[in-house]
Amino acid sequence: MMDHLSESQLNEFLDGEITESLRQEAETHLEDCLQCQARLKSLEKVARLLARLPEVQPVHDLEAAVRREIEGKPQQLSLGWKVLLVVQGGTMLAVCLLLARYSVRWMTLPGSWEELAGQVIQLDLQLPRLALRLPDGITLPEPVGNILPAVLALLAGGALLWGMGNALLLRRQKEIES
Amino acid sequence: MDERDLAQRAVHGDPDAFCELVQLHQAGVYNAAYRMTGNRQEAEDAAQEAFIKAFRSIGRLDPGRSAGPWLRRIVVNVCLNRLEKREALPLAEEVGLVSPEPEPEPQVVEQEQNRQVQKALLKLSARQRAVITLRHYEGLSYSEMAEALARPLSDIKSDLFRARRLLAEELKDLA
Repeated sequence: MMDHLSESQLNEFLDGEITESLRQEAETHLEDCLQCQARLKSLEKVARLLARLPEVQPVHDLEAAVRREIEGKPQQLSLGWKVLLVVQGGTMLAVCLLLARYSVRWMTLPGSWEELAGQVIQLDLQLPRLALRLPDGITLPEPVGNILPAVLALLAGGALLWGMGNALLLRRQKEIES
Repeated sequence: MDERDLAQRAVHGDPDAFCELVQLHQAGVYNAAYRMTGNRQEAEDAAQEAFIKAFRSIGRLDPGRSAGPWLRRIVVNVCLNRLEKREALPLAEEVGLVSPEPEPEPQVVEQEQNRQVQKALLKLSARQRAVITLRHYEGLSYSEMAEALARPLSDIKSDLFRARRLLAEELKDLA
């Protein structure tokens, strides 16, 4: 003979979340136990009262509000736009690399760990030294000559990004307006 | 067009198809929100937020199934987040309020009972309301509720059993 059903067992019994053998055991117990019968009826009454709550209707049309919201904001890019974005990004990267390749002279790496350590200790790290390959006879005073190519590369990349962003925004705006 | 076609189009980013799904399921989503909040305006705001969230994560919708249960799970989570961020909302509006017109006696009794049930629901914590809504109005199993609310099964059971105990106590005088 089973002891009184626990709260957990009663709830699981009510919800059908109990194993078959435990369900049979619980049913047998419930047949004879008035106390557990009353507890189960109390839970069933809660379920019945909850089920009786009437449906309510929204006062405003939710569809109109949702439509305004989702159409007023940029949505996911289509596959075509994603491909275009990747191509544009790749082009921009290639332009920057080419610019760097032909105008920048990389730092000379230290020959050994001891040399590197020496540079660090002397705070004489050889940062990337940049120099334009200007036509013979033309020279720029340092540090302008050193940083100018990097500035140009940054400007080129930035301008390309700015153009891409504007093109995308304008295109999306046209789609929304149409 | 049936719901499966609408869901298929919505998943591929068609806003019109998604709006048709909204039209189809707005009553169910709103009701779930109302059970959670007990307030019409709050329920509308939560339902709208849930639809926007659903649109942004439309890729997670399985076009082979009805969007209703998925949308109602989202709104329960939206309500849960909103309720946990603030104090319990005042009961600005209650289900079954007596209308100005005289009503026959049985309807008045039923409305009063419904009002008390809604009031009792609002005494529960947000998490308890969430499990009651998912179990009694969505028919989710314990494990489905644990998945929908991203919480351990033991927490779900504990909240559900405690919520029922509290409701039984609050509603013991009702027939």
